[in-house]
Amino acid sequence: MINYLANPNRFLNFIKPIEFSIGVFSFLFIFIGLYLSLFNSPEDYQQGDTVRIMYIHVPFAWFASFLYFSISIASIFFLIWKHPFADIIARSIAPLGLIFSILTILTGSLWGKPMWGTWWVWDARLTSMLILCIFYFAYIGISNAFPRKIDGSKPAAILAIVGMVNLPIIKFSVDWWNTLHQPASIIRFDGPSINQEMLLPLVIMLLGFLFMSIFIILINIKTNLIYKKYQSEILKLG
Amino acid sequence: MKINFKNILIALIEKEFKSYLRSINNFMNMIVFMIAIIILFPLTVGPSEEKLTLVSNAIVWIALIVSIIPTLDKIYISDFKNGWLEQYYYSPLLLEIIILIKCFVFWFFLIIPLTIFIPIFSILLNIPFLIIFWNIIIFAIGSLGFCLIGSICSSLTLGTKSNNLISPLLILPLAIPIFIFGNGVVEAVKSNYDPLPNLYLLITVCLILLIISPLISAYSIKIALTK
Repeated sequence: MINYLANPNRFLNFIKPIEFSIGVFSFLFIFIGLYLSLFNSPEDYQQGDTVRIMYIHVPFAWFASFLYFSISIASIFFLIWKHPFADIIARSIAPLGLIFSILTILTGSLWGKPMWGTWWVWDARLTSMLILCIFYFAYIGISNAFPRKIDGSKPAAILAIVGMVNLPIIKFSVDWWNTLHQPASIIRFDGPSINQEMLLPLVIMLLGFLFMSIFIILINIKTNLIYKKYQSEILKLG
Repeated sequence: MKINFKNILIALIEKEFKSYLRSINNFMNMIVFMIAIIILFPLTVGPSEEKLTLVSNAIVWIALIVSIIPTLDKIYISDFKNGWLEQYYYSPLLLEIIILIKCFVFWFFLIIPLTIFIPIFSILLNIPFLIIFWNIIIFAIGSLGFCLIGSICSSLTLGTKSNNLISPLLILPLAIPIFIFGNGVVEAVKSNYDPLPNLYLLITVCLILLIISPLISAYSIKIALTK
C-alpha cells in the first residue's frame, strides 16, 4: 500500500476522489463539535464557562505534537529509503504544525488568564510546548536555508528526529513535575476521568481536527508537488 | 614521520590550536561581549544590592552563554570553506573521532580559558565563594555538552545562505537540559541541599551528548560534502 502510494502521480489519482469528502467531513465534525461544546455541554463546577476553551485547546495541543511525530516518522522514512516523497510530506506538515503549536500557546494563555491569573508561567508543560514551537521554527528555517531547496531536506530530517526527544517530555511533564497545568484526564491507565458529556464534544472536535489537518496537508502536498514539477520543467527548458 | 594514531592525534590538535591562535580575534570578541553584558545588567536592573543578588548568578551565566553562541556555529565553517573537511572525510581516521577531537580542542582552548572570568565577574556581582566554586565546576562540565550541541548545529547548517539566524534557534532547545540541571545545582547549594544528584544528571546529559553528537555531526557533514 505504502509502496503503491509512494509514487506522486498514483498518490494524486488516489486522493482526487476522496479529497473533497475529507473537507466536507472536517467541516461537518467541527461544526457539530463547536455547537455541542458551546451550547450543549455542561459547565465545569470550578471553571464555569471558560472550560469551553478546552474544546479547541486540547485538539490544537494534541495535533501539534502528533504532527511533529508524523514529521519525524516521515523523516526517518526519508533518511533510510531516501524517497523524495517522504520529504515532501514532512515539509507539507511543518507549517500546519507550527500554526497549531502557536494556537495551542495562544488559547492556553487565554484560558490561563481567567483561571490561573497569569497569561504565562514557566511551567514544565508550557515550556516544553514552547520548545516544540521553536523546533517547528527551526525545522522550517533549516529546510529553507539552503540556496537549493533540496539540500535542506536531509539536515531538516536529522533535526526532526533529534527533536523527537521533546515529545515524551511534553506528554509526561504533568506527571513528572508538579505543574500548574492540570494532569492528563483522557489518556490514562485507569480510563478517562473526564465527564462523559464533556468527552463526546471533545472527541467530535478531535475527529474534526484530524480530518481538517489531513485536508490541509493534502493541499500542501499537492502545492509542493506542483512546485517541484514546475522547477523540473524550468530545468528542462534550461 | 610515522603515520599512526598518536601522531595523527598530535598533528590534529596542533593544527586546531594554531588555527585558534590565528583567530584570536574571536576570543577577544567573546570577552568584550561578556564584559559589556556584565556592565549593562547592573545599569538596567538598578544598582541596589537586593535586586542584584537575586539575579547575579543568572547574569554571569547569560554573559557566558550569549558570548559563546556566536562562535559555536563556526566550528566547521572555515574547515568547510578551505577544504579541510573533505581531507578529514577521506583520511583513514573515522570522521567521528576527528569531530570528537575538534570538539575537545575547541572546548579546551576556547571555552575553558573563560573560566578565569567567572571569579572576576562573580566578585563584581557579590556572589559568595561557595557558589563561585560550583559555578566553575558546572561551567567546565556543561560547556563540553554545549560544544557538542554546537557541533551538531554547525554541521547541520554547513552551506546555508545565512546560518546566523537559525543556529541560536537550533542550539537553545537542545541545550535546555544543561541549563535546568546546572541551575538545579546552584539552587541546591544556595538552600543547603545536596547538589550532587543534579550534578550527576548534568554529567549524564553531557555523556549522552558525547556519544550521540559525533555520530549526528559526522552524518550531517557527509551530507554537506556530497551536495
